[in-house]
Amino acid sequence: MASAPPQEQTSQTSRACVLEVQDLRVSYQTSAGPVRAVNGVSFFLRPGERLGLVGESGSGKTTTALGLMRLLQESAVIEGGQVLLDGVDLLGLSDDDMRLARFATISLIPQGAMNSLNPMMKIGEQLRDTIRAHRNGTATTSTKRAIDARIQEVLHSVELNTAVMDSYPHELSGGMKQRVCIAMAILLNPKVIIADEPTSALDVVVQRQVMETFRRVQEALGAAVILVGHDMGLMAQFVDRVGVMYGGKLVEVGPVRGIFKDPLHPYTQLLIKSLPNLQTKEDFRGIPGLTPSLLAPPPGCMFHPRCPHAMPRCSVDVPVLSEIETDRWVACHLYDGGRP
Amino acid sequence: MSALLEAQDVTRVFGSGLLGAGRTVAVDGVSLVISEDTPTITTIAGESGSGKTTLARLLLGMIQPTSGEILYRGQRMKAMDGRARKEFRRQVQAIFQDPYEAYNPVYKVDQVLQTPVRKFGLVTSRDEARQRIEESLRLAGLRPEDTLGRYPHQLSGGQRQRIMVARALLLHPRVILADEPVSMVDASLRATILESLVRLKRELGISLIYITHDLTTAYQVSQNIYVLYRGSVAEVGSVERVIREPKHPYTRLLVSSIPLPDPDVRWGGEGDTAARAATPNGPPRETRGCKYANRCPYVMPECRQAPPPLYRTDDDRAVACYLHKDSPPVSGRDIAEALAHGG
Amino acid sequence: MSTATLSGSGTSSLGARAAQQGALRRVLAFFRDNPMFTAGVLLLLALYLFGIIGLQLINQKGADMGAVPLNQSPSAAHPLGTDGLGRDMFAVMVIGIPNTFKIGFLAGAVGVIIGTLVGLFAGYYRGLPDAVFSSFADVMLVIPTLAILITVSAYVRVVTVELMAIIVGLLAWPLPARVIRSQTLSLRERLFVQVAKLSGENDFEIITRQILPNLTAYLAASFVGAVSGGVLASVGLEVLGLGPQNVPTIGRTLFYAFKYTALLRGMWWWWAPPVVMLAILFTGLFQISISLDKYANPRLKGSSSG
Repeated sequence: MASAPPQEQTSQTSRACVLEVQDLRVSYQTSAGPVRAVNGVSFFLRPGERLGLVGESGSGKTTTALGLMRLLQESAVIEGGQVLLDGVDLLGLSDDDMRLARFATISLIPQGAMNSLNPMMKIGEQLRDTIRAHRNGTATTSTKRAIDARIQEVLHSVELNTAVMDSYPHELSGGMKQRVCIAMAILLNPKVIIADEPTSALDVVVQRQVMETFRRVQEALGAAVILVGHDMGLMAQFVDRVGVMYGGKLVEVGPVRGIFKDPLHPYTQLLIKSLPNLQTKEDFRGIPGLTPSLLAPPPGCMFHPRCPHAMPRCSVDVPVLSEIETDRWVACHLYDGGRP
Repeated sequence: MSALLEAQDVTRVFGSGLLGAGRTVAVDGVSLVISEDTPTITTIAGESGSGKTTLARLLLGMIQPTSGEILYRGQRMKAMDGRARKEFRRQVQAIFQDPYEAYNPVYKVDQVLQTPVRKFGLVTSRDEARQRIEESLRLAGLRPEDTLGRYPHQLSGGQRQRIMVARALLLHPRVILADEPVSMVDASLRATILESLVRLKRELGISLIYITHDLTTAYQVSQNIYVLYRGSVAEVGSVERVIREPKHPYTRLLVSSIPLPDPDVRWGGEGDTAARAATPNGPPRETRGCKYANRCPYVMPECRQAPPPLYRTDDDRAVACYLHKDSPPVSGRDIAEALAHGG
Repeated sequence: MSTATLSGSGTSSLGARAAQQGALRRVLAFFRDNPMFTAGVLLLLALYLFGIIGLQLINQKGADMGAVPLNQSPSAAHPLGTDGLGRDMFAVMVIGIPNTFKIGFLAGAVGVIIGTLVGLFAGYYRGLPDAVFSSFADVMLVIPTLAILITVSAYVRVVTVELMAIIVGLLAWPLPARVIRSQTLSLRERLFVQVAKLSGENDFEIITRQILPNLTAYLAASFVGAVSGGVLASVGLEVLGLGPQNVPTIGRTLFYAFKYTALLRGMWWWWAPPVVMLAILFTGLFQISISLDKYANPRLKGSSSG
């Protein structure tokens, strides 16, 4: 397998971005050997921007998101790369500094509130804990009254009654719990919020309410968001840019309209075509084949076994994510002008 | 039109509690008809708490209704003897939502295919059994050599779900109940699995009951739809009517909340008054009037007095809402039969 | 199209020999991954082999009373000395250890088998059978079993090793029953049970083919617990002078040691070997029990992101 030349970084660094991920690589140790779940992922995030990270199971999107916050399982190893948040490499911080950075500068809304909320503690107490555990010394929220005032302010902004502070998680509905998680994520005014499939357990009506609330508070805060998920419809409704992941790599990044109306990468094209719509009945266009095995990945491009446009080169050279138009990045030999 | 499978005014209550405090009415007077004449795909749509899962279990005969009847080919389920039940079991099968939990982890996936063949005595020899299983797998779009002999954790979610489709086909059923068959499957595979389900109807003449909360796939796949809200039918009709021109405020809310994969068509339409007043809650209290009254932007005084009947606003649709009381009222059973006939 | 799967294994047509090799490898891997379990098993094995091999080396008559000179401290002829009843201690130990194993395992087996049957039945059918059996089990758990055993022993004069094991086992079932019952209660709700029902399996098949195979971890853990309990109870009875009288057992030896004040007389070779053997036995059982806990209690398996 030919080695990939260094990523094109020229136009990225000149833009002001709040988060810059460079060549992130994460592996898992399994009983069958190491599995490269995230294989050289690079992207950037502008302040206040909403980026959707889309992919199917095994694409590496969740590992990427959790890896940015260094919240991976013990069996996962971050093998390389940089995660620059306002110029500071999160991967190089000490454990203590990382802990302080979490929720204060970069926070997480996890998939399923059960992963984040302690069933034995009242909501108010958990929110106070978040402030106390992650705040740095310079925060203005130091007295109990100031802490509680901040909590009430945040609960109000996510449209929760402050009575919620005295409740236990099991007393709240799914939508309310997820709003608590949003509240927790914005408590300390982070610059980046990572939302990992925050609405996957919610009904479609509640999902809309929660996402609309989320957008409102995010815009008010000016925080940037990475929304991780596989629901393309949700992406279309919520994000400004989309990054499509496949087999541990980013295969396409671009503005949301461009991705949906004019997808460039063959996988993205097939994905968009396979989405159900309310116009045509019984028109099913699935993607044939199986998701790639990360233990024994195909040579060259990860997608070539299923790609309708595969060329001989695709099974040899790994395509590089390159900016082929303004703000449109694709990793595909169809666009890199090389030999077929 | 004769009915293959039908629910007549079925109600199912769980729990009794002291003074009726712990009672939940999961299904409340629902009627549904699947025709025997032509194979159809019917959707039962609703969110969690709508009763769709309980209705599914009632239709499968896994639980009994508190009142009302489930009939299979005219026979009351409660009155079926052992042999009739076994025949029912063979002709009405199911596919479930979770392609992992459906398997017993200690066995290879073969077991899930061999058990029905064995228990229903469909074949007389091992070879015949193997043939039948392989045929089913191929019908479900799988290659036997890639799937048999493996443990569930060695296969992908899509493969596991397709094996479940194959399993449902083994007994050559008349009806397959598919409970959220693709919600836990990757997006690119959903279309393929849904397509195979539709082909079951087209090529094998099997009727499907598709249970989901996803109205988009319901539109793609089915002819008729029953929209449930807290155990009652809010709106019922052809998918063209109900999804393209919803009339019940709840259906309209559902449709407007669908995240369409089109950045130019953002969420719009109906709002939900309940969201603003969110407080910690317990199970919904039983109300006298329309169950949707507390959330409805069009609520009127009469809505709180008594639950509205179904009003037939079109030939192929009925709405349980006083906004449409000018249309002729219709019983659940009548509209269900009319729909089945039209399909 | 390649057969890409999550585990990346190859074709599905494994020959029988390859399957066997796979099974053997899995067993060895299990031992390698669970060092405490392996240590416990090795301890028990060593103890048992001591008994079995030792049986070949000794003169069995040496364990009879009056067979050898009394009160001899350890020497070449009698590696563990002799006791106040004229028994060669080495012979006594060598015979007593397998007996203790026998009692423990028999009591454990009886307790777990009865407990599993009750637990499966009560957990699967719930309702009245569950109410009856559960109340019964709960009551039995509260009554001190040693008190019952002493009372029973007082009435049953002649007791063989097997009989005592069974009696002890009959009192050991409530705890396994509770464990198995609670697991059955949750397993019966699992989706694969619903699928099996739809595939035509009847209640008996569901219990034996669907639920029971998922209980192996709990059965193993309960068995080890029951064996420990059985050994403890039987040794307790023997130390009090109840239990089999004609067969050398570890507990009986301690009974004699106390009765003839071996401690005060400084005859350490009389009381120390039984105590050491018991210590090794319980250490081994404990290690096995702790290491199985990981499987019986998946939440201990180690957490994800911190």
